[in-house]
Amino acid sequence: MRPASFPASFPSGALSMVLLSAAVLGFEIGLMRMLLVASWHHFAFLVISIALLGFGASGTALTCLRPWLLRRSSHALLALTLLTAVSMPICTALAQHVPVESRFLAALLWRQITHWLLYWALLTVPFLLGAMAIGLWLMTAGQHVGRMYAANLAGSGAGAICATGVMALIPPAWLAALFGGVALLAALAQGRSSRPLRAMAVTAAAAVMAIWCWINPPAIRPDPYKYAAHLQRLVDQGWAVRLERSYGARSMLELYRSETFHDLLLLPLGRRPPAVDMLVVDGHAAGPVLRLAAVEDAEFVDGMMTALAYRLAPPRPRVLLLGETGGSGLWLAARLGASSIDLVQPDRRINRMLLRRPAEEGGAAFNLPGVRLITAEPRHYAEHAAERYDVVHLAALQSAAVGSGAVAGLGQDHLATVEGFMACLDRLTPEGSLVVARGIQTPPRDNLKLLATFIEALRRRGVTEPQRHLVIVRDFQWVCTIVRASPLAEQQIEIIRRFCHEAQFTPVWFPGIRPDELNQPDQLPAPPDGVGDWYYHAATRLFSQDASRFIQQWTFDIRPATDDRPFFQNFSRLSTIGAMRRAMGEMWLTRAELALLFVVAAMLAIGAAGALLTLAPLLFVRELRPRCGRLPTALYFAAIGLGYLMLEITLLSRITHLVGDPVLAAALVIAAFLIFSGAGAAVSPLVGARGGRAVGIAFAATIVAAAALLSFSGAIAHAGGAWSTPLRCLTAIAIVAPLALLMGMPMPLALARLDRNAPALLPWAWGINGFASVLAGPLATLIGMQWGFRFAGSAAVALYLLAALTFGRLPRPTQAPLSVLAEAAAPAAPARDRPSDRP
Amino acid sequence: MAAPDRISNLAGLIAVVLIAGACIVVIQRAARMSGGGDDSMAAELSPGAEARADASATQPWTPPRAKSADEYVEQRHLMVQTQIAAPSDFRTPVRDRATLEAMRQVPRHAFVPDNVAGDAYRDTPLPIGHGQTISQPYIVALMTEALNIGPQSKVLEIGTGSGYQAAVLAHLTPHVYTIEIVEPLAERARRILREQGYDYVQVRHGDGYFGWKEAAPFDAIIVTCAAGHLPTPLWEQLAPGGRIVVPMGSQYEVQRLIVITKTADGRRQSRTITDVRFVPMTGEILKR
Repeated sequence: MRPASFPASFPSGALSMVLLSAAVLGFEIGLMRMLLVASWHHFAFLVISIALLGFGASGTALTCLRPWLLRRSSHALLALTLLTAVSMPICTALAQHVPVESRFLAALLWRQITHWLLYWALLTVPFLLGAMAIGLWLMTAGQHVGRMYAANLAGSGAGAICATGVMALIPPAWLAALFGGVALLAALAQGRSSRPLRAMAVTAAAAVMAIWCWINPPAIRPDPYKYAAHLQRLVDQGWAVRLERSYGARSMLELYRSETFHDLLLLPLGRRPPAVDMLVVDGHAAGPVLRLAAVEDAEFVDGMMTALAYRLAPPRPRVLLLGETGGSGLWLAARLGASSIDLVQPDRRINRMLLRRPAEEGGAAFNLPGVRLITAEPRHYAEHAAERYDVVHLAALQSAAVGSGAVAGLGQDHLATVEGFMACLDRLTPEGSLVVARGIQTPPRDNLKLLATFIEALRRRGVTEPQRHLVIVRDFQWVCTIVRASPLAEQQIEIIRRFCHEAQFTPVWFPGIRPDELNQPDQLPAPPDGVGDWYYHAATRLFSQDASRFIQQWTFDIRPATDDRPFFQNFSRLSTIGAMRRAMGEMWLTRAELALLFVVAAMLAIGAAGALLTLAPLLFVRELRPRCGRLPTALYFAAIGLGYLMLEITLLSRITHLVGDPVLAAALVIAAFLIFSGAGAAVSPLVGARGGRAVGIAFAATIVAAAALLSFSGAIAHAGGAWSTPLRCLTAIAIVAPLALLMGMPMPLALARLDRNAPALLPWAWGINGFASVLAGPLATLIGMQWGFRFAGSAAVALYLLAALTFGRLPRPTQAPLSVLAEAAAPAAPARDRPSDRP
Repeated sequence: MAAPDRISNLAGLIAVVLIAGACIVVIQRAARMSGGGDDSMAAELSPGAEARADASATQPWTPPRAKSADEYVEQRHLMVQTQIAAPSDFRTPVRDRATLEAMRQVPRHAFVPDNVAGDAYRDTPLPIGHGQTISQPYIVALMTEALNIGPQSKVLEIGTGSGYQAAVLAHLTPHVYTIEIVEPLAERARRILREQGYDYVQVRHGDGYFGWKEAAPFDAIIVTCAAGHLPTPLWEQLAPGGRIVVPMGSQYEVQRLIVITKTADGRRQSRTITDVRFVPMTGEILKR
């Protein structure tokens, strides 16, 4: 059945498609940025699944409403586009009023889950509406469907890139309204409805949006437990003032001043902190900026735990501070006589802000002799710098980290990995030390994981007795770990003893430590053998041959983080949840390190929603149920649905390592996959026309390319650390492009085959693929966290192999038409963001 | 020994006991007079409360009965019985009688928002708004016991929050000072404490980092170490032999208590109390 009217004008239709696609994908990227600011970084990964859920549901909706929509396609297109535009700011604003919380309490669990479901349902609406509009365009494009699809992909890619650029110009709260405006332009350029009607409708929609924004100005409401919310309360009381704010694709940066800021980690007892301003990145406290004018004013750093590394260093040490933001690490190095201090900070805007500081407000630090402020990713700098240092301070890893990391465990950190620490050790002089301090947690986890990762890094560098290279001291709140390039000598051990006695620190480990030196003056719970504390016990076990068994037995996941599994803050172990529940009662939810559980729960919830929205109608609507061919169709489309996004997320991890910034990496990967998969889809008819052999070669090339990329992308990411940002971005695109091109073919090849031989299976295929795509995001993250991304990528390659084997089982020309829908043209390729793009 | 010798020995013994007793009474009265309320804080107290606080210096002090003490009585008793005082495989029971009695008397439900009042006696922290929570009952009891205070003790709380902890402390001593940085929370806590009859608890809206210099020294201080270190002003305001209890955790949960004692020579000793005696190795759960 053909639509009532054809596109009145192809160019305006294409323009409308470009704008609409750009709006939808721009909204997706913008939503990630908004969630970074409002909530926690790692909810952003759920945005991909929510977008896919909307797209998947749109396929089902289009299939079910197809006759009705086709009869009034012009008006339906206009209405859907306008609804998409209006829903972006409204649904985003409404979602922010839902009181979602990032920590789950047993007493409030069902209420919290309900709130989360409502939150995600609201955010799905714009994607559902936008995908329906895009899908309807493709359904009614007739002979221009290929070009319309190309317009869809071009617009999506442009949206991803433009969103990244726009973030530097406008507040994140306004991104939803901005892309809603782009969708309004898409409605205006539609060309299908009459001009007066379009003008009136667009004007009305614009008025609605304007009134809404007037009554309810876009704003980001931070999670009430986030630091940004605390700052807002101080501002409301007149106790804090914002000094600066700037926006960027990387982060929203703010600087606040308040007399109530006393945040200075590791300050020794008896010392008073100086006045500080607080640097806030995406609503998180990024570190204090000390308002000091001279080194003489920094006497408060005397006696800091991290000063031990300087006591063990040669006189006038060369110092490297990785991730420092103008806080105590810099002043400590200056005060303890460093001959040079290299301060590495990845965010150029932070560095510009620090350099602009007046001398009496901390700016003087950057004018001290030998101080250099370097803009670079800490990991990249450690790998590619030529200098050697006597002290390398991992300030980026310094954290109180008290309490469960919860969903922070979903964050990837390529510095805190075995390979990252090896790179840091490579920067040490023979008498140099690596130093990091982290808060004490009960039961211990992150300090043990740090220790395990250090030990593995030392072993990979050929050190057979890592215990001779390690020093661990603590007080009641902090643990400081020092890793030496060379084994500790006797006189250095005496220095450690003296330091601990003078500063009243409790030694945990150094070579030759005696039992009577342990667990005092700050006493922690002792292990069953009663010797020392759990940190000492864990250290002795990790040094032994028994280390892997100890790691396996520990309640939390303390396996050394690696580049393949760069989740340093993930301590989840599903197998120990039962024991924790029994011990901790209702509080187990907040103690159990929920990152993994969150991903599993998200997968189940999204999977259930996906099943409801994409599969259930196909199972229960009789007209949509073909009588045969379902199994191979389901296997094939599920395999490519899962495999596509699993490969995309695996590559995203590698590209994040290469590029450094996660939002920039996401924008590059998503845009590159869209554009090049679209190109692959565009050339797929040529491949299909050459018969089964050509199709087989295409699959084989996909599998080989994926396997090769998985093998070499890590090395490329490692090598690319020394390059400039534009070159790294181009490299990222060059890595993704060939594979994305090949991955764009399997879907349209199969759809074309179904269209010829069994069109009744098309809705089935569409729904299965959508459902699989929705699941793939959290599934890939889950696999990456547990077994590493190489495993996830290998699983994806295996899925493409399954698809290749199943392709031949799809319905062939000998099969009779199966359903009443057979005479209809199949719904054309899906909208953007379907990980398996279709023509 | 002859009878007159026995009598004289006995008389001497009685005289020694009487003199020692008199010395103890004199010393206690002198201590009370030197640690008494500061005139500048008088504005914080209602007249009746001031009278009560002063009266404690001269006669045995009994805490008031809270206004809502007759509500949820059974739930409170059950809470103390099952969550706080009961022996458990994993949880160290609170044994201090005064603490347990205070937990039985203070109407926790009055200190939480209405929408969670029904959950007030569950073994869980609860949100109270403004990014703050009220700790679970067991933690409150554990902290109170760790402070080891009596009717003569002067205690400072940094972070009033709901006011519940202050109310529990107010059952052990009339000398309770509490500071809250979030103004709406301070106002709310002050109002509820007064409504419930704890108007002698001194509530201040301010920056707790600097303590309460006018009322120092304190015998015990509760402080949340959000600054990443133990605030020096608080250490300076702690009396020798006094204790600082630092609950460590996130906003939602307290994982352990650090009890820091100031020795006579001003040095620090600390010990950690965990709420759960959980051996973090699979297959090995520490039992009592």
